[in-house]
Amino acid sequence: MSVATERIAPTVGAGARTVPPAGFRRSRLAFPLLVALVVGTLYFLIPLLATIQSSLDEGRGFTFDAYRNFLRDGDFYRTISTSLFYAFLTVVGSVVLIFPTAYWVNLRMPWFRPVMTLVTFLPFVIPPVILSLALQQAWGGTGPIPIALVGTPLLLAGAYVVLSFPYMYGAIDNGLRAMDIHTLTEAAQSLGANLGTILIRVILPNLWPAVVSGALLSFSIVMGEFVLASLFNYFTFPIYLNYRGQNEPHVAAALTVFSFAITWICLGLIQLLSRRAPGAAPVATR
Amino acid sequence: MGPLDDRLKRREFLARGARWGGGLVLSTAAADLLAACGSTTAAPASDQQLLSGSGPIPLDILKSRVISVDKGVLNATGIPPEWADYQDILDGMQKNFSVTVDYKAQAEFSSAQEIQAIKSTISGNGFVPDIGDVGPALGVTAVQENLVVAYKNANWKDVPDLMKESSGKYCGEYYGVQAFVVNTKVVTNVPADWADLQKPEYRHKIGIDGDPRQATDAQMAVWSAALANGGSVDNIQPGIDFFNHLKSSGNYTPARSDKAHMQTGEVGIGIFWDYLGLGFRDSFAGNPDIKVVIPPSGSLAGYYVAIVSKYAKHPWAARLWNEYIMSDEGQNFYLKGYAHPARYLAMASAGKIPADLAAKLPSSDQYKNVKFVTPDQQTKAKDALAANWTG
Amino acid sequence: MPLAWLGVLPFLIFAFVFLGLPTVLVVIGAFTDANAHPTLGNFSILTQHNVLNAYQTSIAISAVSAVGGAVVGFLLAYAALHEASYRWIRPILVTFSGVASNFAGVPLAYAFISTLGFTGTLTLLLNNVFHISLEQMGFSLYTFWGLALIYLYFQIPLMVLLMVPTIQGLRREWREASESLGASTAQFWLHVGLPILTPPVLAASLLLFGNAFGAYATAYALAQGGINLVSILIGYFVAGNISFEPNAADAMASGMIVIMTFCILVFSVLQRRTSRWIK
Repeated sequence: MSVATERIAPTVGAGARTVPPAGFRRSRLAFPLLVALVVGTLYFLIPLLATIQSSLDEGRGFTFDAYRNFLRDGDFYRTISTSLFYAFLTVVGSVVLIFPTAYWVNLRMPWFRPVMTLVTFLPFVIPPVILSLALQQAWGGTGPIPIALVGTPLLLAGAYVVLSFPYMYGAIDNGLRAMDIHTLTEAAQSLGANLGTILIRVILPNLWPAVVSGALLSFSIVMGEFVLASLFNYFTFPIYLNYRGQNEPHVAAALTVFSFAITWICLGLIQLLSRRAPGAAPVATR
Repeated sequence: MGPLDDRLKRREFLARGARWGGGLVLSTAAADLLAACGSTTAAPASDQQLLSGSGPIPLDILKSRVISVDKGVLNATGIPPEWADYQDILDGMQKNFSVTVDYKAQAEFSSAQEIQAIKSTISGNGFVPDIGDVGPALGVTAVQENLVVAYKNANWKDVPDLMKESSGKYCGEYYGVQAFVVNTKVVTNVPADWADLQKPEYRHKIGIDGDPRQATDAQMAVWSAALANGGSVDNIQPGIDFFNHLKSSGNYTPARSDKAHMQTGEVGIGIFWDYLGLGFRDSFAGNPDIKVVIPPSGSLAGYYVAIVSKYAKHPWAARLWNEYIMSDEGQNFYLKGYAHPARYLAMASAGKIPADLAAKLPSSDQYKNVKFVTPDQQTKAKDALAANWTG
Repeated sequence: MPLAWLGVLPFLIFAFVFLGLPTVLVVIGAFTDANAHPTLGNFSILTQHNVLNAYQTSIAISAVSAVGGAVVGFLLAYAALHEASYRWIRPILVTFSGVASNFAGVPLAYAFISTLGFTGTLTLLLNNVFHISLEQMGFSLYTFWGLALIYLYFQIPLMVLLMVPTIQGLRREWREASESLGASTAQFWLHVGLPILTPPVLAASLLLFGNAFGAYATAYALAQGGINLVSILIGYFVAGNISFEPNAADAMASGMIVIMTFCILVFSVLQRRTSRWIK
């Protein structure tokens, strides 16, 4: 599972290459770079093309049978709904948890930011496999607090919110720092708004692109997460993909194309949004 | 050599398996008889008594409770429809008893994970499987960890002793043997035995059904290799060595011998259960053509046992399932799926096996040298693999 | 002032419940035995043949895919940002990198099996049309090198995403200044370019290393435990397939945590150094 796209390498929508001054000779692209571009393009395109081809061709010519196959399978809809359910829970939970906290830290406790950074970076240090081991020991019913959460929706949603921390906090924090929340807050307060109103009706509308950015990234992660779901026996879409893949190669390819399309749509949307986001400044250090 | 002779030979082979259990057969039968006599008292037992007893529960009571109390639902894991013709059994539950089996298709449900599923839902949250279909070592684990209840179905006495737990906590359902399943489109010369697998023409062709540390099926493949290479039911190390040798010569591929890979030929020679291989053969219908060979110098029989979860949310359905799979109809479905039903011997001598069904299995000659193992031996082998198998 | 803490309390509680407490339990478990007495004995599992082999393989594949990803990713980013290449390359590369760095796990494994498996599209194409047999050349997707090749699919894009802002920060003026002082291209790189770029490149490589080290789904979908990795072993333990002592499993996991922490820490430190030059 990949890490660190939005957080560490935030959007690069802003900023173009520097243009050479007039009269300066325009150099040519060195050969190794050209090779890298060509090889890179081939390397990334070929597996996609091969998968698409495999999904459309079962050895008897062009057909959509593989797609029709999973579209007719009850389990497909079941697992997509389950994954969507968790994705929704995760996004909502993550935003509800992180947005007010990030706002509060930026407004009143700026010295706390390193702690926030540390905590939200922890999921990078604890990859999902380790998290599953840890969660099993803590909440499998045999931990210091003998409540068995493993097997409940709460556990998986909680774990997924944790996995979304770096991305959600990164996006929201960046967004908050790019706007002047002190002025906005004071202005709203002077007009008699309470905290809730400020958050929802003043800050959030300005933060929307950042929130959606974080949300889409988290959504994409949850829709593709395999480790936790598999080890804790939840029946989500990636589990279904793996199951079909073990029985029918072409349906697996079709589902892979579908899965890639979801990822593409989510992250493509982020790219579009970030291009228009105010103050999506690259951050080099943290 | 007519089908009758074949049946006799098969009976012999199964009898050896049964005798393996030792002289306990007779004493267990006697004990069962006594228990049966003792329990038929005049007063009808309450539901509570029925559920906490070790059965069997009369079929009509089960049939009515399953609808009234369990709402016609059974939660199950680890019973893929394409495995040993569970499809027909699942359909049968629906047709005969109006019970819908809510089957979770997480294909990674190795036996260990089925146990885990029961364990992690002790609080009653999440998906609570009512029954399980696990390898015997995991059956023993389930008993030790107190996750199952005792239930002796109506046909308990027909099951060979080595395949069941004496107090009823698990019951053998069916078994198969390790076989070479060959995709003849990518493999021209079908290997006849283990020694053949070393040939350079099988480069990158040989695979097993997953990781032997994780799946019983794969474990038995390695163990069968051990039998053929100087090992025994007590020593799996030669099997590990054999596969290490296949790895270094390049003949072994880590790609899993699942249905998809067997079909595409990604794995040319898969070593796994004969009933799976035969099922694939039928399912592919010649495209590609599959040959199933049982290696004479080393093949282990592996049985799977049925367990009833202590935390079952549908206890009547769980017991009904147990009754159904061990009934003549259920056992014959296993046979249709090319697995040897646990009650084969008893059913054959009572003439309850249709001749055409019996003829569908490979000739019993091939099963001559098959060996059975005890759960203890399986645990020992599992530990050896965990320590020495490096993937 | 203390009342301000209420604002961050829900977050902290949540983080404690789902992340902090579980992690602490694992770390404590690694250093205690079954009777909760402190001990270092659990770490002896790292010397067990199977586990040692897993660590070696995990480290090796992380290193290989990190180096490969770093080199190719850097070249791609540099090529896309070079003034001599077309303007449209950069946005396409960045967008695609954003998507591809998240395309990992089960679908990626199946995509590569469809492509380079023994009966994959590309394999068959090379075989039938160009008469090149990958198999006879000794290539198998289900090996260490096959998995490394697959890992590159999300490692390279991650590197690109990390490198684009950095390379953009490499001011054109520096290049011009050095040229006006008479330095050649090689001299520029030796004395200006590389010293400035080394920290961020190193940092990014470490991140790639950590990324690969913690990966599970891709390797699992490809070969189950066929390629012996630490993450797979831990996964087997969680699923109940392998019986380690729980404390021993904690020790294994702690080993992994240490490695990941090292990567992230050094990454952060190096990034801080970079920002001195590249804003």
